[in-house]
Amino acid sequence: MSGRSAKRRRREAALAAAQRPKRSRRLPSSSVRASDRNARRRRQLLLSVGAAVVIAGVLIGISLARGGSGSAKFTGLKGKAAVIARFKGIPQQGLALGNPKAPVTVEEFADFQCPYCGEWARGALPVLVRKYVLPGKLRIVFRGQDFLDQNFGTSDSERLLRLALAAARQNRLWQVVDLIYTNQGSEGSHWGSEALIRAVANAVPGLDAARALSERDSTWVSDQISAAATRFQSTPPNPTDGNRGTPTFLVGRTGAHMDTIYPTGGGAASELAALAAVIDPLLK
Amino acid sequence: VTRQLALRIAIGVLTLAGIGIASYLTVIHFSSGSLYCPVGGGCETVQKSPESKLLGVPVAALGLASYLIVFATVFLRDQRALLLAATLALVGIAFSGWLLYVMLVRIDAVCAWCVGNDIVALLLAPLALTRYLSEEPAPA
Repeated sequence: MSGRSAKRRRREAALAAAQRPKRSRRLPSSSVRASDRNARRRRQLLLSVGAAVVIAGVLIGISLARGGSGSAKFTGLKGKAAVIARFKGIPQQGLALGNPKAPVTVEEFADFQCPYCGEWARGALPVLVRKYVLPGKLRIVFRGQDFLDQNFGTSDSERLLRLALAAARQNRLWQVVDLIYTNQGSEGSHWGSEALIRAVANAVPGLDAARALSERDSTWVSDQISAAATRFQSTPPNPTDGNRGTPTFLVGRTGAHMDTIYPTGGGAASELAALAAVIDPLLK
Repeated sequence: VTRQLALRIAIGVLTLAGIGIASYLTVIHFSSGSLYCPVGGGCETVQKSPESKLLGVPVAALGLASYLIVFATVFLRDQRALLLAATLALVGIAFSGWLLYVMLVRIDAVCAWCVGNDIVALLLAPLALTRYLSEEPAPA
């Protein structure tokens, strides 16, 4: 009996021992799964960090290429000396260039991206300044426009205009306008870069560039943009095509009725001749 | 559960703030309206800069899409969704850092809306990562 019961006890002990390890193997399996899961998460997170670095790198690369819009690269400011010399000694009051008591006033409506405005600024303005403004016969008021931004999906016209208007608060608008047109790029090519804007601001003698740059967003500048756009819209449209284009001019005796001179499209000489044909009789 | 709920609420609140900022900037961009600039006065300058667009798409619109995706994941426990949210948050913090550099150094103007977005991105990324690492999978 005792031998049998001893055998039974041994068998039961062996059975229990056989069952025990099985149980102990089963117990840590959930923590193994959790540990596997955490390891997998960490691996995936590393991949995620890698993917984020690559995606952010691509985005920054595109941004570095200035929006990836095929923008023109600024390579340096041209014509600084000529522009400074052109306006030396000529009084400026805000948007106006020349003697405030000049008998004749011209208002110019122009957009910095407009190629005809550029041709006028480079070809006709120097003659107009020399012949009429320097002797005190003519005063020119700049009414900058930015409608070409809508045509080309750009912001160059407005950003350049904001600098010119900020400079007007320091009576340096015309040097800025002339330098911008001297360095004009083709329409819609994003040539009006921040680098160009800063170079222009820093090139004008007597202009506090930091102040002008910081005042680009001022209410005064925004109000001037709105006022110039409203005034342009109040001019009669060109009878030949029913549109308003740039450069358009209003010419008349200072403080009196002004006639509208539409863009001729024939280049600087043609625009100058059209203006002179109105200015000369007013000066007689 | 309480910690996970707090994470979800924090991520939800931050992404809603991000959605608000990005929506406003996107709407102003497409409506050509004038931007209200609470502090700094450089909002227009920054928003009109060439860097405010990527391949013709306003970065504000990209940010809006990103915030909307991350916000949607607040209601999910799927690991792939949480990983996507964490990845987007990481991209967001890196790209926001770049735009902050552009704003302060290259443009030299301060856009309060952009700074607000940077703060949201800075806070969102560690929360999204923490949630991905700690969220228990949804029961099968």
